[in-house]
Amino acid sequence: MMFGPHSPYIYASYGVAAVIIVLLIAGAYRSRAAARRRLTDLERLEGGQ
Amino acid sequence: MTDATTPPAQGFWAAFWSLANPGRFMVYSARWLPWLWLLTGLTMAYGLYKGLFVAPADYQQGESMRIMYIHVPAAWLGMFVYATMTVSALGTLVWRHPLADVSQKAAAPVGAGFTVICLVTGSFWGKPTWGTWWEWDARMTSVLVLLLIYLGIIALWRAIDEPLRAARAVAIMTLVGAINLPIIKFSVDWWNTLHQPASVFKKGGPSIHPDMLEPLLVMGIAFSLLFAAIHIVRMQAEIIDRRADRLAQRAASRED
Repeated sequence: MMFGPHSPYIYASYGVAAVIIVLLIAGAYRSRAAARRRLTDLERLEGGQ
Repeated sequence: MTDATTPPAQGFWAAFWSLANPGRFMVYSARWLPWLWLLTGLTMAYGLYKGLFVAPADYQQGESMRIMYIHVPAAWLGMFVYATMTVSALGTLVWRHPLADVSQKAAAPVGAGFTVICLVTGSFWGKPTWGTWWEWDARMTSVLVLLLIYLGIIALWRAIDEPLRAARAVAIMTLVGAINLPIIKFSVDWWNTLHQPASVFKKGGPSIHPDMLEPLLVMGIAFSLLFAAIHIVRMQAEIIDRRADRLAQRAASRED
């Protein structure tokens, strides 16, 4: 193992941090995409009336 | 309101108020965001390379010290994001800045995420170093309290439907919770803790070796840029969502 006997702790730390960071980024883009979809739908509805 | 006798705002305040327009914020942020992501990626890659492969191991802790390069920046950001939210809370209550509550709402989940990273990686570092995953000492407990405050703020945003009322309630709660920031920072000085005292931001300068300090500071910058990028995307989402809310309300009032 690359970092000796402490490797599992190091891998686990970096792994957990990576997962949380990916979730934060994905969550931000997902909520922006959902908001855009909602706005587009409402604008389309508005335009149709 | 500016009248003929009031000189126009200059410098920082001019920029502060020019970005108060959500439309202008959307235009500028869309232009900056790709560059911000690029800078974040490059800084993070450089920091990780230096921290994991170039920096020496600690003479006492050995390789487990490398956890510091994510644990410490995450701890800084957990506190920095809360400080940003405190300024935004003042922006909501005192200056009535139109984007202050948007900023505050967008920052809370990101701050909570960084605080979780800090607590989990601290636990993974604590086991090989202290022989325990967790200890109810002042530093660890005060950081856990910070996480609970973040969760409380997120819950309060969701509990109140009316945005203006929610913003004011959250701003007051954020200002009250800010008392925890100096407690976290000075907990290692005020109480006898298992957690080590400050080794970077302290009187007399950092006590950490420059070969370890450099990747740590680079990772601190990378995490700050990461926060800025995620925060901007979340603010864009919130602004678009509020536009949709206004449109929905207009449509509903026409139907009545």
